[in-house]
Amino acid sequence: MKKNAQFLLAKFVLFLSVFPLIAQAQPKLRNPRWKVQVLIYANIDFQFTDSLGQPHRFITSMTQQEKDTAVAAASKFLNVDVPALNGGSMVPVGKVTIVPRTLTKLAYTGGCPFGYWPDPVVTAPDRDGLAFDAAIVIFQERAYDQVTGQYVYIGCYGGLTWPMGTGQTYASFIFRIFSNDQRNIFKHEWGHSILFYYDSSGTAPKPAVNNHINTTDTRYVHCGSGAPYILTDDSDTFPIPNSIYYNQSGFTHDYYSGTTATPDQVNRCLGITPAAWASGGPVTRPILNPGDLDGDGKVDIGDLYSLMYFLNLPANPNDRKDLDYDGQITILDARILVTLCTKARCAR
Amino acid sequence: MPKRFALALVLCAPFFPATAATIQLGSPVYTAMSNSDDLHVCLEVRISQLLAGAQLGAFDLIFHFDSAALVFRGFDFGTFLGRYPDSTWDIHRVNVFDQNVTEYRVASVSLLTASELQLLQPSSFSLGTIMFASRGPHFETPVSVSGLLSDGSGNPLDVTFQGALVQQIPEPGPRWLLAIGLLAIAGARRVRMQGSQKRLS
Repeated sequence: MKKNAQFLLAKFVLFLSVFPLIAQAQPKLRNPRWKVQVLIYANIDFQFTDSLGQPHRFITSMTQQEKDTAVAAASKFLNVDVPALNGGSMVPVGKVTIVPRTLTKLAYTGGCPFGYWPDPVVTAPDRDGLAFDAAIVIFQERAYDQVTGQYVYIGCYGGLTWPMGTGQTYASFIFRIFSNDQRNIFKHEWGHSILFYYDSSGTAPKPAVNNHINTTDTRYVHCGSGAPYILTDDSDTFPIPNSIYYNQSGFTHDYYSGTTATPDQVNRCLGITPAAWASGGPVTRPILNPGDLDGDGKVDIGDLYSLMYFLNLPANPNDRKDLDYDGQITILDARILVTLCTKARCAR
Repeated sequence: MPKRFALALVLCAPFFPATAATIQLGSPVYTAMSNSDDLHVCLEVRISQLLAGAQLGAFDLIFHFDSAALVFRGFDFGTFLGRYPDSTWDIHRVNVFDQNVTEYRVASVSLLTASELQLLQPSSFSLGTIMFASRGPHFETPVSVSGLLSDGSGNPLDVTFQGALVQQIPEPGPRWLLAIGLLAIAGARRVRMQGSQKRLS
């Protein structure tokens, strides 16, 4: 009996050791990768007159350390949090820019006396809606009022997201929220933006998820099991499995990966399913007949020649040569093409 | 029990992935050029510590060197990705006639399947040899390598790069060696002749 148990254990250990090799041998599913343009507005010089006729001039700037903090938070969100939350269905490609110009216009969003914010119109000159699926805007909200001589906070929210239909998504954030390795606001606001997009494009199951979960009128459970979520904010320091923002499980994880449900229909999976991610984003679309660059109906050495000619050049939006959707034509694309060849050795 | 623990560690090794591979430039091999004090310098480009289960499907490498000390002469591809043109597609990305090149780029894509590569490749093998000619008799200069490597499926491999230091060891040039050899022969002959003259007298 003991020997039998030992044998089973040995078999299990052997399986564990061989499993990664089996997994590695399979070509990975390649979904279009969202191109995300992160714009950091370090300088604002904004004048306005309030409802009482009092003029104001708000001046802000970010220190180098603050810029670094914002860059690190955005990078960690895109490189770590998003792929974890969507179960690996989509790994975004981020490009972070510290916007050199000083922002002199802000839109009134209300909520508090100085509720001004960089909305999609204000940031339009800096956004490239033809090359990027999503825009993430971060701005310094602590401002010096040159007229009153006081420090104030502009913007009355941690983050705001605008529904943009099937166009480039737009999520924006104040800088202060990133001071404590806290990226939940990223997860929430960007969650809004992707839910808006996939609802508009019709590629995610209906009804669209409302990510303002609560215990009364907006309730969700895990799809299939019907397990409820722990409605508590967690963080890197205090992780709580199955909570709202935990990367591996919980509400945000489930709607980012299409595995949440309403309590009345626990088997109807909602959110952004792997199929929705596979449909791409506002700009980046899945490549049809991948590898067949010359359109002759097969993938062969001729297609490889064509790709190698452009090696190490930037890819155009929806470039058919950019088979891994990373924005560059690289040797990785060449090797992917070989795995797609119609005949052995990519023969013609 | 410790034995079993060790066995489990070995078997579960793929669960603890480290760097997937190392690209290393080997020790320089020097060959004297005829009619010159300059040298041919060859460096083997070797991949080692390729993780179990991983294959190398393609590489795109850049070599950096000082054109004041070295002139690029060529690159010979290895055969562990297949043989050109049937089972690899190799390209050189440099004008080899430009004497002032400081960077040489080479890329190769295997046309073999991942499982064929798995059978072909050991954990350590040669990707090729890069060749230079030295400029002048005395030099010491680094050659570095960087780039992008793909596994059999088109996923990037996590690679550590190690360059090499190329230095000419001061040694007599070929003409000096010839002169010393001739002098030695002449000297030996003279000694022998003196010996035979003594015996005759």
